[in-house]
Amino acid sequence: MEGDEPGSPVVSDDEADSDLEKVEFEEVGDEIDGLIEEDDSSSDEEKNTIGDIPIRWYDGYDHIGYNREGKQIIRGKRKSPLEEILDPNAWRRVYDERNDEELVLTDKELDVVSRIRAGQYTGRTTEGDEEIVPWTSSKIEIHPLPEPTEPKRRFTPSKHEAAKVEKCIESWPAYTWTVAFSLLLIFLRNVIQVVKIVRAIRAGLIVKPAKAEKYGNLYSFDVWEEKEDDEEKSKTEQARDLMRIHAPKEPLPGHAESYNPPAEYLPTEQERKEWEEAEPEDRKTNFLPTKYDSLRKVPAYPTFIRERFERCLDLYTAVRVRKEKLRINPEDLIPKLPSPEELKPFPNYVSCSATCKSPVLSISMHPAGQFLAAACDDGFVRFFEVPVLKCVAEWQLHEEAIVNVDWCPKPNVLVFAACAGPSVIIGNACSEGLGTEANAIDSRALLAGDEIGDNVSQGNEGEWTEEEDKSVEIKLKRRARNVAWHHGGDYLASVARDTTGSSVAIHRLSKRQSQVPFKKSGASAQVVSFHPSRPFIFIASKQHIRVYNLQKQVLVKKLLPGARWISSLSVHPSGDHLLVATYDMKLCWFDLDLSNLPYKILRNHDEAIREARFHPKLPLFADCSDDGTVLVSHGMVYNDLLQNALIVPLKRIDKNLAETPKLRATTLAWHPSLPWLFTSSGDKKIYLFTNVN
Amino acid sequence: MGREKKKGVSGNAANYITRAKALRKLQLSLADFRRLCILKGIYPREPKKKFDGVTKTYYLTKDIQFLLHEPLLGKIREIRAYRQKIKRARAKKEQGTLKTLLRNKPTYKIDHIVRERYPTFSDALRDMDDALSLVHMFQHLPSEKSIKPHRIQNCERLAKEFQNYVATTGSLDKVFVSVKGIYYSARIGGERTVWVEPHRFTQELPTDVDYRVMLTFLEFYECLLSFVNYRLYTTNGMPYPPKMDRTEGKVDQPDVEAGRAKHVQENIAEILKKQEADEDDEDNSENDDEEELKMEGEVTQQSNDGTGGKEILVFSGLKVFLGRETPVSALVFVLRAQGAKVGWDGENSPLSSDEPGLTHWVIDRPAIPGKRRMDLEYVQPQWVFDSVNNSTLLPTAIYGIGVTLPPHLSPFVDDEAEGYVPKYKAYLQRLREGDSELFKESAVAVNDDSDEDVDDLENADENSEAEEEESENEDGSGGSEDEDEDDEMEEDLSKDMAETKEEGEKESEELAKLMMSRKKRNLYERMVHGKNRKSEEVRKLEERREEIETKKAKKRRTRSETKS
Repeated sequence: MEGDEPGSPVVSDDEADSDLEKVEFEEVGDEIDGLIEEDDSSSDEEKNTIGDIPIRWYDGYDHIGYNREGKQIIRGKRKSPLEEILDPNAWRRVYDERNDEELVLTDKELDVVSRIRAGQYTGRTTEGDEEIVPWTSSKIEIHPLPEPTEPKRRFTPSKHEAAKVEKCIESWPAYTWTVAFSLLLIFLRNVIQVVKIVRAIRAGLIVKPAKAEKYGNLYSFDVWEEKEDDEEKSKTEQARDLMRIHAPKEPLPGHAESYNPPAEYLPTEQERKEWEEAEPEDRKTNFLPTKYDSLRKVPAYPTFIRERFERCLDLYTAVRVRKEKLRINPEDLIPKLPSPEELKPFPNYVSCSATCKSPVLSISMHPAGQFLAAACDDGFVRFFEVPVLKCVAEWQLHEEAIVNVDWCPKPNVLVFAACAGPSVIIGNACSEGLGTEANAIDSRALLAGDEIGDNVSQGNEGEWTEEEDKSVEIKLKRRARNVAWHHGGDYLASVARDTTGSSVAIHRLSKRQSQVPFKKSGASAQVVSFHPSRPFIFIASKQHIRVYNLQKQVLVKKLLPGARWISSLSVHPSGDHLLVATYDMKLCWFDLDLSNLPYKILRNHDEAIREARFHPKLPLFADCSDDGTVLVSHGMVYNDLLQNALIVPLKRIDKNLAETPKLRATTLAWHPSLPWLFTSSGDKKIYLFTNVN
Repeated sequence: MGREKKKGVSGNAANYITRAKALRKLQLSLADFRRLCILKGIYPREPKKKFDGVTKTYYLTKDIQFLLHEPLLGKIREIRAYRQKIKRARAKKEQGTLKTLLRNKPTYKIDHIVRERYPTFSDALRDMDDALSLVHMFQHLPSEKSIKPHRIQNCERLAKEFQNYVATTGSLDKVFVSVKGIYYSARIGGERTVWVEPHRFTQELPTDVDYRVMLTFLEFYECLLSFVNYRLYTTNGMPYPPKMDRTEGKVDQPDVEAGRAKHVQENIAEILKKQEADEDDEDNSENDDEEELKMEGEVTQQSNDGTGGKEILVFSGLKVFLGRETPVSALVFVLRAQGAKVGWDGENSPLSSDEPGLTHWVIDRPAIPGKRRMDLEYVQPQWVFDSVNNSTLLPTAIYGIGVTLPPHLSPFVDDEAEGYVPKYKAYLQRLREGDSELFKESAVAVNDDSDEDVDDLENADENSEAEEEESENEDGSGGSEDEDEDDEMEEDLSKDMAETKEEGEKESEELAKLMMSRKKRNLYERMVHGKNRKSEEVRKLEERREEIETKKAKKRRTRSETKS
């Protein structure tokens, strides 16, 4: 018995180890089929239906319960103990008294039984078999123990690693594709990852990197091969093309840049020094012309790289602007004016000159064209006969200098007005023996006036005193500087030198009456002039010209010459144009119908313009300046309102004027009908310019 | 009343954008923006009104919008990210990552930009000057940290290829040796291209230059030149890439004449084809006419850029040998381009120094080393350049060995615009016009000159020819002195008349100027000022020349006196 027994439970020990996973009850059973014949049904189900009651309750009966059909299960006849002893398999048999049958234990069952008896697990597994080492209690550790149960993630494929692998595969240029793949299979147990990668490769997500092309061969093909077509361009592209400004090409080198330039291009010592001392930005050229007598002596140019770099900088940082290059000849800019030859006659040469005894401040030409009156510094008015400029008479009007003189515009009378000191003197030149008898009569009549002795009437600003048939003196409160006749010959206006307050006074000869009509706006008046046909008066202050209607007593216009200081004023015989000379070198032509701004500004002198005058009949005007020149110009005025005045400078007269550098022509006068011009100045000379061909 | 206008919707504010705003819009760093601008050829503009301040740089808004669609923009961002990755890997000492990164640098190509900036090939040809100059410069630079050797090599290759093309087709028309470098001018496709190559010396790299900017330009120019080279070679039936002899750096072109002949043949073939087409479709539709026109244009263009215009080359038939001291590569290029066969003192030279048929020896030494060969002529390098510029073979005596050279004149100067013609140029002009007497004179003069002292030669600034001419003038004036006096009175009278008339005209003009508006007067004065300045310069040059000549005449007189 004992010899048999150890074999059976141990049989399986070796075998069980070898194929652990295959151990199953049935199979073991199969193996020992030959040994044990067994009732199939008995092993599976209970035959007895009495339930879970003690069997001893049936001790008194011959049956032990009921089967499924309801029949009594008759207690079988048990083997005698002797028979049992004789049976060699008796040790395997177990009596099931509930079902009244004997069960034969299989090897497995025996094993389990033996395990249970040994205090082991019933199932034959690895863990169970191991000896349990008491981790915690066997030895004392200095470090804390790891968690005894490992987390699940340790046993699942890592996502992060998979991602890394994918990346590795992406960048796998060093190995051929097949090697890469096989290596993958080796390294990755994870089949799923491999499948993923394969899929990615097929989908084109993982691309085998192309072999890098050699640097130089990168662009050896024809970019312009395809048909070049302008129609392909979109609107924006076309717009960009329009806006594109090509970089200007570099200037090409000239002779001076040569390694062996002509000798005249070589810099002098001084130029060389200047170039070397100048800042690089200030130099005219970035190199200094140098001569080498043979090519082998030419050194490297030190700033070659720098200059290239600067060109590069220019190309991408410089602002590009399209600049219209003027392809015009500068001569074309000069306006095409009619030639002065066509506009003759005009005064161009000095035909006669006379010397006055004292400096001349002002001259005036009698409207009949015979006598020229000159206001002198010593209080005389001197009369010169035209054209020989012979002094025919002189008349001391005042102790002080005569500032201004003006003939009465009536041609048949020889009456003039002059201002000296605070008085305006109206003189009869006939009393000095000038003119004919008829002139004398007319003059006397004019001077006599209507009602004599009414000089104390109210509002009379001047004090009238008279010398029978000779002169009338109007004493004003302030010193006069300028006098102007009205075309009728009855009124005259005077301007006071002191410009504060109202400085313009209007005198009526026939009534012996003076008044100051412009209380405020007459302030700071410089020059005054009457309109030749209409009841207008022009009063020039320093910067403006005001035009008043004397009848309606309203301001008609205010003209703005844009000047700082007006020096003189001349009204065109038509009355529609005005010539304004200014001390700031400008001569303004006003067209009164056009605008209150100048129609034309002529900057024709280098210094202050003293006086400008229209010719009474001819389309001429002249202006004289401190720079010693007189400019004679053609100034044609048309009746057609649509046609602007034509202004043509004709002649600059400067050669034959006097010696003194300054103030050589301060005043001028025109002959009433001929193109003759008189000028005079402080140097006591009077000139007559005539038209000589 | 209309609705109030919104700010920044129209006008300058909408059409222009400041650089800072552009950077923000493109999300680029300034350096990257500059790079992109260089590659795309975008430059600042000047709005009429600088709405954001005068110190700012303005760009066209359209340009910036255009940049927004540039594929390169993405690439630039990628590169920026890549750089950051590398930096990070370095800092973390992740050697593996670094290695992988370094191996996988993002690359890009810019061929589309070339196509975009130069839609047609002729557009590209028009803008080759800067590209060629920069490439020619870079080929001579030493490789440095930022200037990689492969770039330099590529530049060298491109320059060689281009020069080879120019030489083969004979399209070089002018050369000018300046103190800065050598200027070449070639006519390709009807366009004149001028580039400058520095003298062959090791260039010192200045430190105050931003090489990144130049390298970016170079990147574009390399690409452009590659395409141009490819196109030039392939359209002219030449093999590309050409066979290069790397060791000497010379292009080993099998036969210049063959290439040329082939080219001519092609032209002829095209013309024939065209004629055939004419005959076939004489009464065809308008489309054909258009095509014909195109074809015609092509043919003329080709004939322009190739040999068509220039049948006889200056040096054709010559065999020239170059001395060791001469700038060999430049001379080889120029001589080959004008039809000569060239040999030099070195390896791979197609001609050896004792070749039987040699006609010229280019030498740049004071004396001939060894024995003088009587079967050939010795000339200084300037002879080559001057001959090309004048498109004739100049007399070699003027350029003989050890002789004081005549001035080397720029072929790019427009005499009329400049207003001053150097004496030597006038002489060359006469020479070209075929004044045979002049030729003899000059030869005599040169011989005289060569007898002079060496010291004198060095001092002498003018060439001997000028002297000769001058002396001739002196003689002439001496002979006719008496007659002159007789005529003087009459001349004076007529002169006076003319003068008065002129004066009158001048005066009336002066007066007419008074009638100019201020704007016009200012403009006029500026123009006149410019003119005067130029004439002033010309006057200065003329004065100096006179001074030099009188000095020389004096010197000669004293010398002759001492001799006698």
